[in-house]
Amino acid sequence: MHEASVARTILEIAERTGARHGEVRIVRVHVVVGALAHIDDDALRFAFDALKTDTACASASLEIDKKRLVGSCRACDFSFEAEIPSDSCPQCGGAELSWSGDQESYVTAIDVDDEPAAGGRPREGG
Amino acid sequence: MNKPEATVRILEKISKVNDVIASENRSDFRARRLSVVNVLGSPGSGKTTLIAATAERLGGRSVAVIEGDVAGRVDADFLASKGLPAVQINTGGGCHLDAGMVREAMRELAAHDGAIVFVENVGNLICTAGYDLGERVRVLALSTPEGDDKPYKYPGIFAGAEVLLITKSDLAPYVGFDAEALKERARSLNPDLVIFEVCARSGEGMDAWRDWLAARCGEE
Repeated sequence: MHEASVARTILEIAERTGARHGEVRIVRVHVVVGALAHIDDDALRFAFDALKTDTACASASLEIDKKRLVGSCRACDFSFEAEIPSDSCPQCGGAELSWSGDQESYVTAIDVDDEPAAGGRPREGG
Repeated sequence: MNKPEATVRILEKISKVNDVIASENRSDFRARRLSVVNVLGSPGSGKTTLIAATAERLGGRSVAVIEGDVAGRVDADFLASKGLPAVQINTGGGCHLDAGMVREAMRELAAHDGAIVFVENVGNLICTAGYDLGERVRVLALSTPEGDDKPYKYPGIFAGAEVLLITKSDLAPYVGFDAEALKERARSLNPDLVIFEVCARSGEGMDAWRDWLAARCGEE
């Protein structure tokens, strides 16, 4: 279970990004999770919600775009998506498949509005 | 009342903090001519036995070990009893080692410059795959009793390894392990994967693995 450390990093990236844009409230944090990152959506949401209190993301929601594995068949060139690798091509039944997917995950965007975050950290030197 | 929202687009890797330390580790290791080998695998896959048996066969090379476990120092004590310098990391519940833990352990480890340093990761086929430690070689140990279907269940760890060691090869006939099926499945995720079948107890396959490792960890 490393979702807690992943959530902490997401919050840190979102807060740092938000701080560059002045007094904003972070409404939503968008992340893309790699097919091979082994990150569970529910565990990540749970950790994000548990850790976001007292941060600029206190009222933010987490939007997860989970990428799927891409399989390709060497016999018929068919390309398809799947949750987990399987033994045969869904089109021709061929067994010679190759699989690819990203191990990396990214924070891709934050949505902000102008209302300062209630419960957010006091700004340094402010 | 709805306030107008703005979207700030960024693209930042979530593992970035670890990656920065891993890359610092890599240059520190290079400066000391250390070849760091990150050993991944399930609990009970034979990682510690494999490290001890490999070290024994490395003859002239200096070897040291960093041991990662949730608790205890059973493995470090075992390796120390074999005459290997060993430092134990206890993650206290953490399921993987990260680059920062290895950096700390390396400060304590009595490794000679030019040594091969095995880092035995926490027994886990999931999150260990996501953390670069700054290693030169990433090894996955999969024992035959675990089954030949593991690439389909834990694809990330097979996709990210450079070498797969099928350990306890002597048990394959007793547990119905199909090595050829395993190799095919693993290579469908990672076509360049180097694979050895080894048995640390009988020594079968160990020389071929040792020769490969010694060449891969040659002085740069």
